[in-house]
Amino acid sequence: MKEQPPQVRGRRDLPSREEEARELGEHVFEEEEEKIIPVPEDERRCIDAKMYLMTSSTDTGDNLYDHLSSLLGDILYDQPTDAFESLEERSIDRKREALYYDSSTLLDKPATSQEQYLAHSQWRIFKNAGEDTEEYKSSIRSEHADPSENDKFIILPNLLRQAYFFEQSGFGLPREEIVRVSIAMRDIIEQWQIESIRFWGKIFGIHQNYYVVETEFQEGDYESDTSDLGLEEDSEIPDEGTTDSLFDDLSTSDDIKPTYKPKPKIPCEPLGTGLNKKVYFVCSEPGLPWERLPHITPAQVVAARQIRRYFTGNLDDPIIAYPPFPGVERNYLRAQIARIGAATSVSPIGYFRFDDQEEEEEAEEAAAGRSSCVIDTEYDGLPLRELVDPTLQSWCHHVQSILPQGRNTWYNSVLARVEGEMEESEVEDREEPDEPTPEVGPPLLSPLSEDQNIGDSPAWVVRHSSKLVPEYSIAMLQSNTWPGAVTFGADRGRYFETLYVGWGLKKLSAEYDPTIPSDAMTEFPSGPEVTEADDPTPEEEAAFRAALQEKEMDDEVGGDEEGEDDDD
Amino acid sequence: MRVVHSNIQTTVAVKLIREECTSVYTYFGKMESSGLHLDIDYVGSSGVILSPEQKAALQTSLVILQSHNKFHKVYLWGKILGVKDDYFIAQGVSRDEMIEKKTFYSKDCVNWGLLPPATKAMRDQSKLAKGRFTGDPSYEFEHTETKKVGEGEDAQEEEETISIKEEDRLSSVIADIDDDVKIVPRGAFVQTPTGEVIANRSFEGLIVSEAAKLCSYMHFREPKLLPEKSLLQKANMDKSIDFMDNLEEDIPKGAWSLQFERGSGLVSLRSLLWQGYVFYHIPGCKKYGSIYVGTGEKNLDLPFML
Repeated sequence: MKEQPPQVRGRRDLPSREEEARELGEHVFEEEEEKIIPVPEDERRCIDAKMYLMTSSTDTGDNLYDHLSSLLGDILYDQPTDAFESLEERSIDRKREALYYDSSTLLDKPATSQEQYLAHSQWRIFKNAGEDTEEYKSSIRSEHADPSENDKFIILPNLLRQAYFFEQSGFGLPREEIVRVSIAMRDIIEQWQIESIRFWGKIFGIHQNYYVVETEFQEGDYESDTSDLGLEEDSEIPDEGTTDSLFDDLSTSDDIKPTYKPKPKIPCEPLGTGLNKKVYFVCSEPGLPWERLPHITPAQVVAARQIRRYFTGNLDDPIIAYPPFPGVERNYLRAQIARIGAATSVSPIGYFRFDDQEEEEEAEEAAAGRSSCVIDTEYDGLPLRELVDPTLQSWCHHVQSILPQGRNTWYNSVLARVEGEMEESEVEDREEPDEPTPEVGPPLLSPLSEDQNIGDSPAWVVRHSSKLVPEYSIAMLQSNTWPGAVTFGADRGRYFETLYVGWGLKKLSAEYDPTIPSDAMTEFPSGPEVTEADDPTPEEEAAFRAALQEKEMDDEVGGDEEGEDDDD
Repeated sequence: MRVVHSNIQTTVAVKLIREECTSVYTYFGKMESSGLHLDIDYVGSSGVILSPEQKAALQTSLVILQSHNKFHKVYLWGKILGVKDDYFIAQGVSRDEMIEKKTFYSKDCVNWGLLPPATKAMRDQSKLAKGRFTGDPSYEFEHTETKKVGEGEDAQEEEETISIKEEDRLSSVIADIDDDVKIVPRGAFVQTPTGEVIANRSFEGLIVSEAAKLCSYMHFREPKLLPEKSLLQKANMDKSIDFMDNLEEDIPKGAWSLQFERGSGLVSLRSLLWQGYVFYHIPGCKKYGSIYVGTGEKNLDLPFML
């Protein structure tokens, strides 16, 4: 059917131009001259015409020759009665049907940029949120039930409202970012059984930042956690006593025994109480998976106080510092969050009050400070004038401070050790002279006016949010101890929130003074037991063996003699 | 003949460049007043937010500041946080932005006061002042120094009290920050053959891969390290573009935190030396700028913190 186009692409089929070339004085290769066979004139013209028809068009790449031959082929195959009339139509159809590729077949493949990657991961949270989700629809459908009753997202705070007030005070984060965080927080609620949730803030790192979300778990859910790496690591540290065994065996004299005794290990507070009451989740961009931070140990708090370091943005980065920090960056981050949280959780005075019933029970422990407070339902707020009073009498801490030990409640390490050794009855009678004095922090709900100054500057700065519209301004409180922590108090102090946006570093009153490594221990006294001697040569060994043998011989002889003497 | 000819060419070139630059067009420098309300959003994720009230006031007062003083441009430089009040700082520049600039401060974003130019002596002295700014320009910080007077056994310790005015300290800190961390993308400014530093009209922004490198950013100040370089090191430099020090040579290394935000749609550089200094640039776009919002205290602990 289809006529195969003749193979004319060879050089030999082309009309010879050698004469013309020669006339123009062009150089013609000798090889070519030999191979070219002269073509008759008619045939050459025919080939020329065919070559012209076969010239492919610049737009589509097709040529007229192929088009005509396939068109004729079709007509011959179909044998239509109106072949003459339908020729144009068929030609147009054929042209249209042919798949034309407008663009070049060589396409650029742009590398997937970070921007796209992030957009895709954020797309997921946007798709999973809002009215279109199945859960929301089903809650709307059941008309009798209050939709808010079943909605587990009801515990999400209204972050945009908070952002509005922070913006009034010239602080915070852009509103788009707040919306993204707010949607991303749904992931946590879906994954964990959570009692309450709040956006804690943002900590800058060198390479990436951390968005931090603070949650409280339902009772008993704290153990459902696999991230207790910090605690496990801690338990691997050998206990007191085992380290000394080496020296006990050697029966060395007392003066060379190491004087270093590991400090008593202070256990971390039970999960769900004290510093481990809250569970924190972080992520580097809202939309990326949330990482749960491990629980905190007192040792980490103590170590974090002594070092000063920027966050890198990688949770598993080692903390290279002196004194050594027990853990990686996620532990350091958790420690700093705990410290910032303890220092900057403030509320207008009167908003929280002590629970009366609890008070009776714990009357004895009043000296040690009460550990919890409840929201006063009768709180009526304070006038703005009092909230912005620079003496700061009207603001108080509602979270316990961290003791120097690294815990919220003081742990008596001596008592605990003794308890392990003695019977309980004996414990009560015991009176030890080296009883440590319990560490006591400022009591709960103590006003900010009692906070320590940072050098010459006060610990807190309190302001009106507005200068131009003072009638509706709100109170704004900046921490000077932890630059970046800001609290606003709106609606007579009934609506307040704290947000931290900063580097996660405490402000020092003077330059940081790094701890200097302690002196090196004294060397082990040199003596024969630790002096290295050259190995004896075979000759020396042989001589020694001979001497030994000789001695034995002598002994035997002597022994015999002695034995004989005894017999006598 | 030939010498004369080339001279004519140079003058023509200079004239051309001048004409180009005198024509007024919009581009973004360091939080330029005209685009402030948009540009401030780029640094928002670094915690720099202006309240609507401040934005509104600035949009009006900066225009008036510019027209009163006949500045080429006015930039919002930043905010220095004080205890009682914050200082908003604006800088007015003439055509050569590097040399001719004046600094203003305001506490309410409405009334602007001129700051005295920082002299060397002022800057040395204000380094002795400790603690945060108070918010009162006439406040005087006091610094006592014990000096030894006399020689040998007659030496006596004498206490000398230096008082530093807050206004002077403010001016010095701004000069220090400009000197230490004020940066621009490479190629954003050119030096003309006459030594003038002007904005490069054909600057199209850095590409993403360039924007990820510290060597694509320059200190916007008189070069300090460049004159010390050997001819060999300078061989590959473009004289009209590489006339400033780039960030890669900063000491200590790692004094900057370079991050891409929104994937690679926005690059922001935060100074770790002056916490609170943020620079932003949108790759592939000539938008860039910077702002300082902080307490005006240098992070002297930086070497221990990296």
